[in-house]
Amino acid sequence: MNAGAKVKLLLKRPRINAASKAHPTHPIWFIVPAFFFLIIFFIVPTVLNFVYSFTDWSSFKTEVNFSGFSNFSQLFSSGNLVADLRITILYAVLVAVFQNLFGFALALLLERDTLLNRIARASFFIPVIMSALAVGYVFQAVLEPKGPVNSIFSFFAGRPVEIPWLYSTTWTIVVVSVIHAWKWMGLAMLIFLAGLKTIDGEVLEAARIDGASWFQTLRTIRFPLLAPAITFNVATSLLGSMNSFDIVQATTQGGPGGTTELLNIYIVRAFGQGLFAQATAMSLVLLIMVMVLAFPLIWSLRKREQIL
Amino acid sequence: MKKTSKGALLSTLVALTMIGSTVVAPASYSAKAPAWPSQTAKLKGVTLTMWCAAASLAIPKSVISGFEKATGAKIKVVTIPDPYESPVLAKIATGDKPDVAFWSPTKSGLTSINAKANLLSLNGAPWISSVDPALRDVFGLLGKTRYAALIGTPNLVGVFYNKEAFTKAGITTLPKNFTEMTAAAVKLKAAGVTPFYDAAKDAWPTQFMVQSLLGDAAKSGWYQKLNSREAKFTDPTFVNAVTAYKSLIDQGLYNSDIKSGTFAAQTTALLKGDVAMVNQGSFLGPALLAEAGDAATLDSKIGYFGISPTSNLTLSLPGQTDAVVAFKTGNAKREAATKQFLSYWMGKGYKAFIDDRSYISLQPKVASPSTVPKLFIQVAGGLKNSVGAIQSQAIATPDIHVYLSNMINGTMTVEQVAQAMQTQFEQLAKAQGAKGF
Repeated sequence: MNAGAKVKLLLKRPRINAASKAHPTHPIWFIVPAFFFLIIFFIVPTVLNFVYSFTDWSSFKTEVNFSGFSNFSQLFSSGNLVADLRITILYAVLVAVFQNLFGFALALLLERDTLLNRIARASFFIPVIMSALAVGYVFQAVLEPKGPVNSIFSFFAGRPVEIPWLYSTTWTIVVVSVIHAWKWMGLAMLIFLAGLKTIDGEVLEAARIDGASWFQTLRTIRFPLLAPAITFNVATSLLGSMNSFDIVQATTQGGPGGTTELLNIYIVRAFGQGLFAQATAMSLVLLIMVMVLAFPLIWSLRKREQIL
Repeated sequence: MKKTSKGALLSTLVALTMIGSTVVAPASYSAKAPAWPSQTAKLKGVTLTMWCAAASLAIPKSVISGFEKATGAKIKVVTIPDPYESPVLAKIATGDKPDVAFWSPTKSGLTSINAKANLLSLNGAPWISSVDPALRDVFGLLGKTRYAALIGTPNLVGVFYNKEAFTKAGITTLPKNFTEMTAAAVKLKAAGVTPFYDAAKDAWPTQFMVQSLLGDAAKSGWYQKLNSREAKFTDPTFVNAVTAYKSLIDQGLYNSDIKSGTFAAQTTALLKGDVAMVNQGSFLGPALLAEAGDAATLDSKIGYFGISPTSNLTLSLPGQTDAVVAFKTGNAKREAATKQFLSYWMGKGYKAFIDDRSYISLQPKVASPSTVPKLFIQVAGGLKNSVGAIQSQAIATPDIHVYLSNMINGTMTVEQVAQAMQTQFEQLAKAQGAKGF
């Protein structure tokens, strides 16, 4: 068979006859139960989020009226929303960078299957399964100006050190994103490890025979072949941390001076004031923001994989 | 396929509107409000639900067991997670209601819970005549309808001071106004004591000094002008108060770790005498007592005075632990039982209740327990020369503590604080449908 015929055969679709269309093996109503739950738990909340954003729903009165774009115009004109969006994106980028750096370094360090490495892998995974609030509260206590971390520094410096880890309007956002990355780095490590394991041993052996150093192999062979793992890790860490709330709430509550006020923290504050519609509008903005970021990001990372 | 998805979308939207309308429709309630039953009438088989915050969980314990014993009713206490107010509002928005709950008896508190639609009127309640006339109508009213019952002295705001620190700095007479207090602070600083403590980390304590600085304006009806849009937070009245607070901080009269300061550290520092003065709510009293160990030690160390720009004015600021409200549930039997529970609490059960909680009595015929520290009685005395804080007078309270804490951290100027206050105030007023907004 020549190549043309092969392609033709591949493109030829099995024809569905009239009888099988009328009596398919799986009747359409089989999906009704699944669809029911999909609608109740996924589609309805999303649509409600959309609908309520355009109302004046609040705790102050019983009726809910449509109010057009007034929530959005109010939010954008006050400047808080834009400021908090900027903080949220900065936070997400920092988390993505740190989480993947830490995860990748750990994966390389613990790549070989020794007993010690297995124990180490398990211990680095523990923070992933810990409660994020607990992690936040622990770090909040540890990083107090007179807390354990500064005490250790003081001991080595021989003078009292009082670094305001959580009270710097410039650096606290970095500290908090490092805490977030620390919590999730175990997961990134696991995915990078899985990626490293799938690389064909023969390719690496060939490189070694050609005299490639460890670093050269890493740079030109292993790193490019990790593309799918990178796609997953970058996308989940960046987009996941856009929705972050718990760690920041437990460590800084959006402070100092509002410099770590993620959009979700602002949303909770608006909700607490009884401004339900405004809070809903903000979460819609966040949803749109995540989508706007997600599509090009995943598309470009996928594109990168295809080049290989 | 396209058609079906359109159809599905349409039916979803219809379903949504239906869900939407059921969520927000007011519960149907009995047309005729049930009368006030006898305090100890038998209520076998009736179960009432009460919502408490973690902080108020212990408050009704004794009165509940007394009521259950006397009537045979059951009261189920449900703890609502912190921050109490927003989860409660969210639950009510979805149609979930208790029979009784702790709630702030202020105008803004009652407005935010939509008292008219959700709460039972307590007009004509049997206990009202026994409450001290000076306190009877200060809280719990929205218009002419009473919705909340005050269970203890509401939270009052003024200056708690360390007596030893004052002696050390040679201060023998208490400051009678803000200028004298500032002079005392300068003296204290010279004597090596930190004059004031504030807690920008917890943020909420930062509002009190500014609120005290607004005391005189509050007394002359400034908040009413704010409510009717005749005044704004961007006016000199508010801007000057914030500026005065900021200048105290800039002069170094506050603790050097103000940015990382907390309420807990504030309590300890005041009791130890590291700090001389703390402008706080009266809930600082119990916290100080817990740390001091006993009433005599507390009274020997800590004193109290109210402050405003021109006098010793105290601010009153009831919180969610100070009052209870009854809900319209649509079940006449439970609504009557709820009213009965409140009459028992404020009536036959009141003495045992205040003894158990060491509360100061609000009813002249019922004596306060002897275990109450003198400090608490002194603070409660401030109520007679007091004025409502922003929470009790303005129709909405912006996040003043957030903005002040931002100012302390240098991310907001005084003018920005004022502007943010006004913007949020207008937003909240508009959401309420307040006149003129």
